[in-house]
Amino acid sequence: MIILGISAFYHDSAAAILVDGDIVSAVQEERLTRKKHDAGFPAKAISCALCEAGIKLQDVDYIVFYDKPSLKFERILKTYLTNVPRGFRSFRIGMPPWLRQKLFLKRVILKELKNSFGEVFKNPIVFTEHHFSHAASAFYPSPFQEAVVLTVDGVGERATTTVAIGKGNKLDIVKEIHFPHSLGLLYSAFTHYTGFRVNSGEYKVMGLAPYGEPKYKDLILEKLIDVKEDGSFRLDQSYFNYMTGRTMTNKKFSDLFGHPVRKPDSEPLTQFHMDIAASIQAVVEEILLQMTRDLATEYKIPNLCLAGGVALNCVANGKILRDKAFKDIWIQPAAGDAGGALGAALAIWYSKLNKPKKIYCSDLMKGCYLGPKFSNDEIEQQLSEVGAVFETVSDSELIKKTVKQLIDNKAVGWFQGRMEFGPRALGNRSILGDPRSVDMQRILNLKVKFRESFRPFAPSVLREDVNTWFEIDYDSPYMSIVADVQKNIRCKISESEKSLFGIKKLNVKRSELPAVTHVDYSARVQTVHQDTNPLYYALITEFKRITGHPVLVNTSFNIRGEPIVCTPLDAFKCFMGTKIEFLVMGNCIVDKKHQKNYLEN
Amino acid sequence: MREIVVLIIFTLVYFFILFPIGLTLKVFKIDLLKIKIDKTAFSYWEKKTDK
Repeated sequence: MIILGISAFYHDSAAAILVDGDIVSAVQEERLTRKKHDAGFPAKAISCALCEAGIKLQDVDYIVFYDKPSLKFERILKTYLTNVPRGFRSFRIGMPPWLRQKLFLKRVILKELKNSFGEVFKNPIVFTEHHFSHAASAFYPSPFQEAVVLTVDGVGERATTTVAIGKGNKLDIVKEIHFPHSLGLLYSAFTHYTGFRVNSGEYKVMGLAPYGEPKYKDLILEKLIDVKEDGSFRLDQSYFNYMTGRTMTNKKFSDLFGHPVRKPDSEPLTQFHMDIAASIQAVVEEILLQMTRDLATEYKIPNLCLAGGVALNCVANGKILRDKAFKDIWIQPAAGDAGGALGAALAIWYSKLNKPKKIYCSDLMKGCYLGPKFSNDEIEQQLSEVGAVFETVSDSELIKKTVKQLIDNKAVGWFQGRMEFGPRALGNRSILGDPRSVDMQRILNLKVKFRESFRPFAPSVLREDVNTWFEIDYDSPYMSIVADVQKNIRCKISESEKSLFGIKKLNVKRSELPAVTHVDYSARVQTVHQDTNPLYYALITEFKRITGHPVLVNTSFNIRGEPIVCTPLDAFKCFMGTKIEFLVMGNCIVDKKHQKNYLEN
Repeated sequence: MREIVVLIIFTLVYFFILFPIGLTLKVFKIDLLKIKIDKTAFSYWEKKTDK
């Protein structure tokens, strides 16, 4: 039984393939079209996922789309009715695509498949609810037989927050909070207010928060949102504009905080914006903690699964874990809409076809390495075609040479095995560095990423050693949990260093691992496991043998504004367009100083 | 030309169908989206009924 799950037409289109319940492949369209957050029909992702699974489109028994357009349309109509006479402009612009395309999605999918694959798909095309797809993506691959499943995002059809109970192969949504009341949209409103792009800049607000004080937390809780004891909430819509307008917030919102919306190009970030970021982060954390505590008491189930865009807030996830209301938590790594494709496919297998949920000691995501892989022959061929100078070495030599470069404070492009699914690079499409280096943060940002980042890079640490270096002793293979560095490796900060402002604070050495330590001593930890990524595990083990530190800096292999690299050619182009000094792809090593200069263009 | 026709149709639909229905809902204080904050409510969770 082969099931193809699709998410598309809003943001982060993706395709996922299940073969007899086994997650065989999952790919985001952006990686293949090279268009960040590509929301188009995922024709390339489908083709790639099918190819990875070694099957043809006609072998697929079910295609499932991750939400139900008719329910969404109903919510949109209700929104217009509620807001008359406001919203005419939005109606005029928003309605035609619905009537032309979005409402008749089955027809659109068939047409797109015919265009891309030249054949008519004859088997069923079905739809699952948006939040059910998220809940399924969180529960079914989790290692739990029973769990409370919380999904929190901007909005699906109507729901913005849902609670489901998963038991065996049964998953039932039991309660919901509906649009326009949404934690995701509240966070996005502040993302807009602080001058970042909605739907992609939220992580910047999270990264900015540790520089500020949550001075406006009480004001937000008093004016913008009414939160009940159980964590359920409603937003005061008189401050927001997202129901009918083209912006997230209105003048009343700006007046409440005494500043206009920051203009991203001309207005610098000030302490005010940092305090605002700290405040909304604190509010969201408090609400999520209230919610999870109440759910733990109500359902008396020790396990919690999380998904939805808000579950990408790894700072909040860390607090939920440390709060211990639930004994164990598992977070879908592709928590955003891309993961909906996988969830939709899982929903059909377990819920519709009633197949039993198997339980293993770990989850079913295979380390999230679900994308395309390239053999050494393919890598060599692609490198030769562009005239790259490279050498092919054995596995052990590969590791020794890479570690030497890392110790020499070089930025290393590391391209191995199957590409990751979801927003994070987890050691197969990564740029690596030495976390002990005080300069590494700056080197990677300015020479490789061409940006300034509020957040330091993430540490990849051997699972066995995580608790020696970080205040966490828990699996975090998908970089979805933030924890503090251990107190014994922290450095004393002088008064003059304390008084630094903004990003300058980040350059102060705060721990033995300065490149991965944030200004509040937090780090977005990735635990590396031998069973899911043996080569990366071996690399960090060798780095530990020589330096005593079982940690590497891991940042995604891309430059600002581009998706993470997918093919060896993407990686080589990124390598040549940046100051990455050393590129390791499969068993091929490419040293920048041996490349002909003209290739740099 | 086609765009102008579409614009006219959607303007007519909005002002002759949506507008009067929306106004009627307002007059009868029907809150389709449950927008209002209710300080006296115990919880804002809504039971999922249409499983």
